[in-house]
Amino acid sequence: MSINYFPTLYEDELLYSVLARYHIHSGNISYTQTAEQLFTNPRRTPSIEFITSLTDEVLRILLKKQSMAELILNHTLFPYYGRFLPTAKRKNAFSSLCAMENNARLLVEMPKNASKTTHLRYCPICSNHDRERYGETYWHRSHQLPKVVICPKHHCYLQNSNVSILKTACALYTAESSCSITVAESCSDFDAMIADYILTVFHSPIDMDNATNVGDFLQYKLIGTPYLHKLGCTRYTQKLTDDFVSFYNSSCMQGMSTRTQIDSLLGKKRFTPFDICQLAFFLGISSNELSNMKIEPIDLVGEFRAEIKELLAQGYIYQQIAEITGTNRSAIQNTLHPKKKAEVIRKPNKRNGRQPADWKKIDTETLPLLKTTIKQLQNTDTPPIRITIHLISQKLNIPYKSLDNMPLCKAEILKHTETLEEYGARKLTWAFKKMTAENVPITYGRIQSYIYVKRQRLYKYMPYLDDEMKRIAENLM
Amino acid sequence: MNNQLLPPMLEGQSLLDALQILPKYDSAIRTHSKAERLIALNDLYNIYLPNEMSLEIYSKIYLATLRSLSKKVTRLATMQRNENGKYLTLQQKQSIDFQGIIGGADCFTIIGASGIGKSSAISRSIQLVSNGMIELENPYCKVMPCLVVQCPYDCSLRGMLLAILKQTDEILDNTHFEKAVKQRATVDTLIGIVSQLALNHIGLLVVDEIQNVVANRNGRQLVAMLTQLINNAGISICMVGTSECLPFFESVDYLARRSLGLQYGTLPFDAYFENFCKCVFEHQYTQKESHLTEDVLQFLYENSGGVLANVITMLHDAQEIAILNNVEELNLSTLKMASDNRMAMLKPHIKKTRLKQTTTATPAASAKKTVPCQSLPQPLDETWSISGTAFYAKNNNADMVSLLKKKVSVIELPLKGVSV
Repeated sequence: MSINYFPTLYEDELLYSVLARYHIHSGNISYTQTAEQLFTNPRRTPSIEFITSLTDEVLRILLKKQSMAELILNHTLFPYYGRFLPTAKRKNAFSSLCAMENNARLLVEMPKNASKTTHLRYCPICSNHDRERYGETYWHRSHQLPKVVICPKHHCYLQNSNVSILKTACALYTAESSCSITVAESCSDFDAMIADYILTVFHSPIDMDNATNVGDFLQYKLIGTPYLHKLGCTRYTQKLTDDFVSFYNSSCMQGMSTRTQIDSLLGKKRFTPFDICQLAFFLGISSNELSNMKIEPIDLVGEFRAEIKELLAQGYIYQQIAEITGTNRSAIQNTLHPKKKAEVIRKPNKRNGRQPADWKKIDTETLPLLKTTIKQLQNTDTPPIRITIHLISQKLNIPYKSLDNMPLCKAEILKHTETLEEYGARKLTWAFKKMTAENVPITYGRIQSYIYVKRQRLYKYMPYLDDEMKRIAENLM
Repeated sequence: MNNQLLPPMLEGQSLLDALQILPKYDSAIRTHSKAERLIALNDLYNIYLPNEMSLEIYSKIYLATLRSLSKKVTRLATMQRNENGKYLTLQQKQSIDFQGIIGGADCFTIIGASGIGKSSAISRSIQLVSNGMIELENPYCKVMPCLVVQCPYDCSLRGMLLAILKQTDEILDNTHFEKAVKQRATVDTLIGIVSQLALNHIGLLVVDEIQNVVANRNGRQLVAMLTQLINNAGISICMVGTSECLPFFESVDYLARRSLGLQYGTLPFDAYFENFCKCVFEHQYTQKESHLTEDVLQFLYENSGGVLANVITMLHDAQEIAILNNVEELNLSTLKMASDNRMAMLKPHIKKTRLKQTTTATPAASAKKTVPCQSLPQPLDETWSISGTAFYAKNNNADMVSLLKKKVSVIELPLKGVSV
């Protein structure tokens, strides 16, 4: 079965949209007929934001004028969701999309639908222009960014179509049949500026090798603002949150509203693109800077010292300098005359006369016991156990924090610790070998009696399995 | 219009040379065995010599195809695709009508007597026009410049639409026919599918044997369906048939409008006919060589009725008879044997046309003129026979009695009790 007709990809069109237009234009009676022509697995629900695994015929036509990478970057939402991920995750997600592995939603860590985006959206003015130019309208990528409810081109509110993205069915819907409203409502200038900003960032080229973490970058950009101490040691997140919420109070596009959310963002735990753009816009970071994040090394202490010396030379006293710089007198003194860290001599407790603990001796004496304990835990007869600091401290009955004073023991524990993925792979390997030895057929159901493993997590363990185990795991997936 | 979609349009001698098909002939075949000569004799059926009709048909087909192709990449075509697709999607749930946005391209007829070479001319023209599949870029689609289907004998709409689907699937490696049959698609659904496929993949649709619509009550429906196809697919349609469909198309104005086109009758006895006979006569497979004489030429014209297919058949069968009966010569007697024995059933249908040197209008059939006996053809004097005289008199509306009187003594007696 060959494909003898395929619509042209329009500018800023979603890949889902061109596949839907193919379905309507091809003369196929049913969705199933189209799915068999387009997808390697016709029963899989087509992805709206990214790419579903396509047949060779379709790829041959799509890749005539552009590469796979260009297709992903120009016709999916990867530039939105993947831009601010950590480098390794970003590259992993991109290569997975290029290979059409159908797990993009998990890899880009799409946020939960807090914005209540329920349907595909369109701009009535863009639709009219499309119809005049091409004879039909289509789904624009720029209109599908979550929480962005403004058309950045025409500065009007986007309308919801009748195509739901929550109830994802095996079907393809075109914009031409779903966009009925032709009258647009204008938005405020402020919202238009935000939408422009976000869209500019969205359309900027992505530097896949940029290792700058977005949380670190935003933290770096707080330097010189009232939200970070002069020396960079303290962040005034509450003040930042209050000013941020107040700044966006009049906007129809609501993002973060709590201190916890902003802390997560700056603490490298949250990568929601809309929130990042909002914070960057609030801090006055240009879209170009945000697209090409760079952190210049900066000596805050040295700069502060130089500033103090300058002010001293101008005749100000410490108190006045503290008021000017927004710090306090002790900070100025410590900056100008940093104290050397003296060795702390511990004296016996005054109340009960207890001698302070000799941690070096305790560390040396505990080390052999620790090694034995770890060896016992790694016994291959039982399902593998994950070695962690908490577990060892429980087993040895040592307070968790005490291990911070025992560097030898801590180093020994860290030697045996592993990530969740490595641990999962080790568990799987143990289970496969055990089942093979006992001549038990390896099925997903039977594995659960040996170890607990979720099918959707299996792909995470793949990089840590050897070839033979990988083959077995692929059959289970 | 973008003329880069098709091969360059030919004209003049280059067109004639391109249309012509002359199989290779080597006179040494005469010395071969009977079996070999009889097999080689079939080459006569492959001969094609273009005439004015061929040139007109080529021009018409080329321009109609070009017009249809240029419509496929327009904005209106996109709108029509969406309209057709919407119809297909909704029609299965509720009965709705769909609109033609793109409008039709060309719709014309090629009407002529059976055997004058219409289908051959169309087939040769299509081969020249469609140099394989055309691939358009925006949007990407593979287009068949011309597709030929037969009008079903029962004028079944479903049959016609499925025939189009089947042919399209065979060429494009699709499964629309299979899916339509499996899902028992209704005629309305089939119209939607065929409209969409025609818009995407067909330049010119040629419907042969259109005269089948005449004697069938579904005939008008079929033509109406073709009209709808034109409006919803924007393709050109050519209907080919015999002259018996003329009254059908003339009966109503909207049908007459759709049937504007080319009409051809039997060939006149002109230079082309003579040239054609000379060309075919040169392909002889009998052992003895013979030359085309005037009487043979006239015999061929009289007994073929100006239909080239009959000429080919007569020359083929005459040579076959000559070879089989060991006569081994293509002459008037073998031609007569072929005409009398092999074409007896065709004789009542062959128009007896008057042989003339110029191509002026033939006399009206109702007016009977008697030809004076001085116009007896010369060969009759040498091979005179009563049957020959009767044959001549009948063909030329001559007075038999006057002709007989010149040769033999004739006494006329009135019949008793019969008023003349």
